[in-house]
Amino acid sequence: MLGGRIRRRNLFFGLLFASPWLLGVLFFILVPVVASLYYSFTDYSGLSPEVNFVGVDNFTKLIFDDDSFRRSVYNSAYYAVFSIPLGIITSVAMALMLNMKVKGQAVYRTVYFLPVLVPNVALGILWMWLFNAQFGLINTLLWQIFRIQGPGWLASPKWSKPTVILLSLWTVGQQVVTYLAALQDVPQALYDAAEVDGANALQKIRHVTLPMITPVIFFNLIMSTIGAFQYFTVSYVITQGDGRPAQSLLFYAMYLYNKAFVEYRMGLASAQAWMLFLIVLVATLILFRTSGWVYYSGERS
Amino acid sequence: MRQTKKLSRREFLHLAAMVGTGALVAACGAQATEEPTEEAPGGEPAEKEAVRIAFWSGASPSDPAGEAQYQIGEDFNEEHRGEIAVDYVYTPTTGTTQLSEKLMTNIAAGTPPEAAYFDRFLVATWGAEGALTDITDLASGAGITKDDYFDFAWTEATWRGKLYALPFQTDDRAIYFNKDHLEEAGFPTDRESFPTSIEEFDAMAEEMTIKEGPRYVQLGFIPWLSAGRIYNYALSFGADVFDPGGTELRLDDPAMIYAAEWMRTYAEKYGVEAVAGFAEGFGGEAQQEFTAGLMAMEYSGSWMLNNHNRYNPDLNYDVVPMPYPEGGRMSTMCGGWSVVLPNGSPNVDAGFEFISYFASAEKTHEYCMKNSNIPTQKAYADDPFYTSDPKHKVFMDLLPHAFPRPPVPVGQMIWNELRRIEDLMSHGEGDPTELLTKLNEDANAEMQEYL
Repeated sequence: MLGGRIRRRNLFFGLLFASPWLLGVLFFILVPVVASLYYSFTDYSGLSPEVNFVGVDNFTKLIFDDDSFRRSVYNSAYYAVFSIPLGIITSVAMALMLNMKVKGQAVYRTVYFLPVLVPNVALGILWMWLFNAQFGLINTLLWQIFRIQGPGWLASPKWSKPTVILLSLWTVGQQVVTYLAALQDVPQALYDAAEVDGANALQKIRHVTLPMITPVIFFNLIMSTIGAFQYFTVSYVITQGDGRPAQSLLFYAMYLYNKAFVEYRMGLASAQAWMLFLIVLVATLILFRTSGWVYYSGERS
Repeated sequence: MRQTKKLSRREFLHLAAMVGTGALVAACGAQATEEPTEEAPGGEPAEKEAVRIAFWSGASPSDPAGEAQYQIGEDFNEEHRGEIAVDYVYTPTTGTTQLSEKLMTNIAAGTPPEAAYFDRFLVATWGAEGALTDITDLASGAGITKDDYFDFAWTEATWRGKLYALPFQTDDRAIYFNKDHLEEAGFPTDRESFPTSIEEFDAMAEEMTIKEGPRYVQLGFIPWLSAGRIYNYALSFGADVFDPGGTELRLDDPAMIYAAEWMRTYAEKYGVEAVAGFAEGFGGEAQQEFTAGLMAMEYSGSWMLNNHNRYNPDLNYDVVPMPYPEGGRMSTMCGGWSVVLPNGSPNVDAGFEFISYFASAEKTHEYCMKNSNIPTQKAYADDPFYTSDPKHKVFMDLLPHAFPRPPVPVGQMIWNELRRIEDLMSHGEGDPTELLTKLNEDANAEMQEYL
């Protein structure tokens, strides 16, 4: 049991050493977040210091009166619903393959991780050219080799979202790395036991590997969900901010950005930001609630 | 042995810290010595340092417009040597908004440039929002008055009696047609024979659209390219959207709805994806579809004459006013830019000195001659130069029949929303009546906040 004076001194020094971080959190996170909550109930423009309280007007206007807002919610939800499972399935499959002891394993692992290092802006521009309906490499190859008339990809309202989802699969390298780490942790003893029980490779994956890596899958599921609703850079680069064609690429974060920094309606944009927070919070809570399928090997059964 | 290892790690950390600190000090020291010294060498009086101001413009110096603007800056620097020196900074506009995000962010942050190039139809919006400096007194002090300008230009630059910009140039829009393509399709190529009815025009466009298999190799006409906008066409179709000096908008005017519908029928007829693939393959102004000879007709502005002449001098083309249906009229939309002092401009006097020079009748006239634009200042508008080129004469003859965009503080919002509606129309989506009625309601409602 430490004496009162010593405890106070410990507290003082503890706070002192943590103060840079504390001040950072206070000024760069807490204050802006609370200010944003305040502004979401006003008509603050961001240009003039004039602030008028408008109650829940911003929220009701967006939900009930704004076509583009509803479209942006739909687009972001569409993106989340398709890109998250596809991303997870693809990266788990790739991790399993990259875990095989073949020659040049290190080379393959590096190559499949490299796209993660490409800046998002460069990514957007690069794939815009590849997917160009008239002159892009993809449609050209489809025609030359398979005699298939490629679709409009990013220029078609029907195909644009599937295209960006496909695009997002190029950078699964980050997830793959986490799964590779998880795969190393699966005890060999379990595989041996499965072998003894007569399991083939596919059954081993289904009954040993996958359950053992479910914590990492869950982690990536949460992170992907949060990331999918905040999807911005690539769509902004491709559409220059207006979500064309036919607003099919107007995502939530981009619409928020437009309201804030192009139309200068900070109050409205703050309302959007808080709604996004609520959506992501609810989604994350649902995921946690339904996470019974995650097997933590440290727990007692 | 363990003992030495422990020490050598500490030694390494010590060394690293010293090297790091040394590098930091060296870097800071270098920055300090870069500060220019105030005193001149020797005993001579120091030459007065010119005040540096920045002028932000969305015209790229590699295009003729930007080049000409840059030149005005250089001429200004020459005449004001030792007093004011202006730096031309290229800041592109964002997407389809006609607005520079970088400029707006800096105004909001309180760090704007001294002067900027600003699309004139947005002046009412951003002036009313407090993003632009009120230059009414500065202008009257410099002897600049309403009578120096064409009415529409002065109106666009003011809101509620306050002047927020100095109008610069204007332009208007018409149909450009490729004579060779018309001849190939069997149509007469002289101006007088060009149809004035929209129905005949649509038929011509269809004739001149050529497909090879599933792909287009030549397009007759596509309404949403270049300067094709619902509002612009609606003016030719007889729209009555706004009363000068009034406060009520009629964006759901039947001609507006007709224009949107008409645009949509082109999307449905020619197949959205095929056209999009064709049109989106083109980059900047040098690779424009009509200039490259891949489109038979195009709705574009007077400024494009310069582009065509520069990038494809062999193009055999002419210009006619936009055709219209029954109930329409020969008309067009006149736009143009201006120069402004952003709110919070660090040097209002020097900034105004520059913008009044930039937008002076002489300098504007010089600029317009180089870029096939039209001055908003009455002083030189009668100059024979503007009617000497028979193609440009068409644009000059249209000017008395031209309308600007509504000079109201919801101008930006209307523009953005109309661009959104055009995006939907050009993909065959959305109901024009519904969309325009809603836009009209919203625009009028928002207008109330400014009245």
